[in-house]
Amino acid sequence: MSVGYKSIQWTKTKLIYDVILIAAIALYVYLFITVSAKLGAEMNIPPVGNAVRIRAYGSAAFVLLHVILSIGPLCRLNDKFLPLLFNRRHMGVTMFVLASIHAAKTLNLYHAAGNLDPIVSLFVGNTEYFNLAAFPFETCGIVALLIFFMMAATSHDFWLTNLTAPIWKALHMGVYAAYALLVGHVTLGALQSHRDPLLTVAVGIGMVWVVGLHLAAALQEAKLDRQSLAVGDADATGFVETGVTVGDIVENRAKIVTISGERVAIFKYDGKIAAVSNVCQHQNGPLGEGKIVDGCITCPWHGYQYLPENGASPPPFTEKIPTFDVRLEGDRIFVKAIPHPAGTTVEPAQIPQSSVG
Amino acid sequence: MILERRQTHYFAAIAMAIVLPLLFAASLIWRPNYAMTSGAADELFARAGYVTETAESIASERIKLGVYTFTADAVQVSLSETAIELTSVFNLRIPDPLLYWAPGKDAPEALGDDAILLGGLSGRSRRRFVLPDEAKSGGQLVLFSQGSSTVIGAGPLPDSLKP
Repeated sequence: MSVGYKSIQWTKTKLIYDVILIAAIALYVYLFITVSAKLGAEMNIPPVGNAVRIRAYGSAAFVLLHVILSIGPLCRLNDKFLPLLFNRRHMGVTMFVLASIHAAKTLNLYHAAGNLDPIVSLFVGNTEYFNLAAFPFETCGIVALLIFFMMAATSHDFWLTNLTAPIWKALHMGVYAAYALLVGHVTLGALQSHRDPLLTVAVGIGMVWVVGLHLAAALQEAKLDRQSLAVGDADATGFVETGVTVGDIVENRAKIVTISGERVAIFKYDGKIAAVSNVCQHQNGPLGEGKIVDGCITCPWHGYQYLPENGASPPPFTEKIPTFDVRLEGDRIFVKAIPHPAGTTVEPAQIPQSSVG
Repeated sequence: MILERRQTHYFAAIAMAIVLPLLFAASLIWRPNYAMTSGAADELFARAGYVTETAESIASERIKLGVYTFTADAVQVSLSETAIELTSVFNLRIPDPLLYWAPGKDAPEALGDDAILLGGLSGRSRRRFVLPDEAKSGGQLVLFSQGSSTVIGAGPLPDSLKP
């Protein structure tokens, strides 16, 4: 929750998350350089130079991107991974920093000694765009870096609030294009000159893992969307039968149904049933996968909270989500197909004593 | 996520599942069939002046060509031939650096017709150059940038490095 614009709010959890992140990256880069130096000494290769550091930072960014891209679909497939999502943006910004170091060192080593500006040299040094083996893979990396820059620059909640979550989310979906470009950057770059099967297999496994996870999550979501109820299914009073019964919902939890393509979270708590939009105002997280904590629906992604009766965040916070009228017929739950405007108070349906439990 | 974003994600995942494996396979199928770092390339490196095997150093000096400092060693490459090996102390940030020998006692500001090309330099790599017989009488080592067509610096050939 937020009250307008606020600077970054550091919490103990975020600090621990960041310390682990930075320590893991530092260890990776240290091991990469140390092992390279050791192997280089055995093979009589000159001491570690910038080329090794370029690979250390570049591979660290690429590995971290795989971790980042795995978190979203893993959370869709299993809620045990949700804690990783909490501070994912810090991972993203860190990955951008690593990629920038990689790019800066590359420019410095391979393009700074010429009689052209290094940036110009980068783009005109190789123009074999129609030759796969000699493709200027650096261009893929630079375009991906620009996408990451745009994402890192707009990563703060200030931009999320001002752009609105749907636009912000659409912008940040550029990460898929960036990932595809980076796979091109690596396969048309490093894999062309380094024929070590270990590197090829590692890149291949990473790609299959990320694409497989996203495909599995996307198919699961599409299956749920196909079960969408239509406004046309509503009865004369505007209610649709959700197919969910009171007994289907665990106390303080929700079941998600889709009405006309948009998802509705039906919560059970304190002997009542309430329905709200499944879309969190913050980052459009799935509220129906959260639970009721201290009387508030709590988003599983970043902990934004809403009162189930009116879809409003408790004061002093100002976020609001649409609410739905709910009706019970015995154990069966009916929800009005047309939502109320965000923040509208509705009377939750009381669960008859015979249905409790 | 709202429906529109879910659909974007759905199509993005399908597009990635089709395009990326194809790209990966194509990059492996059409990748060049030569090893970039095999021993077969040693001869090419040697021909370009890179030092691929160590030789006994007869004398060692620090020389300055303009603002660039080099470690210079005179080495015995055969019973009858000596050469000098140059290693820049810092990375050379010069477009296409070349090393020339030029006669005379003064550092030249431009390359004369009597300057003799010894070879190319690169970064901090150790490069070997065979000096011409004319260098027995001294002369200048000249650092020239082919990229910018200018003399970057020059310095006298020390007595201990003369052939």
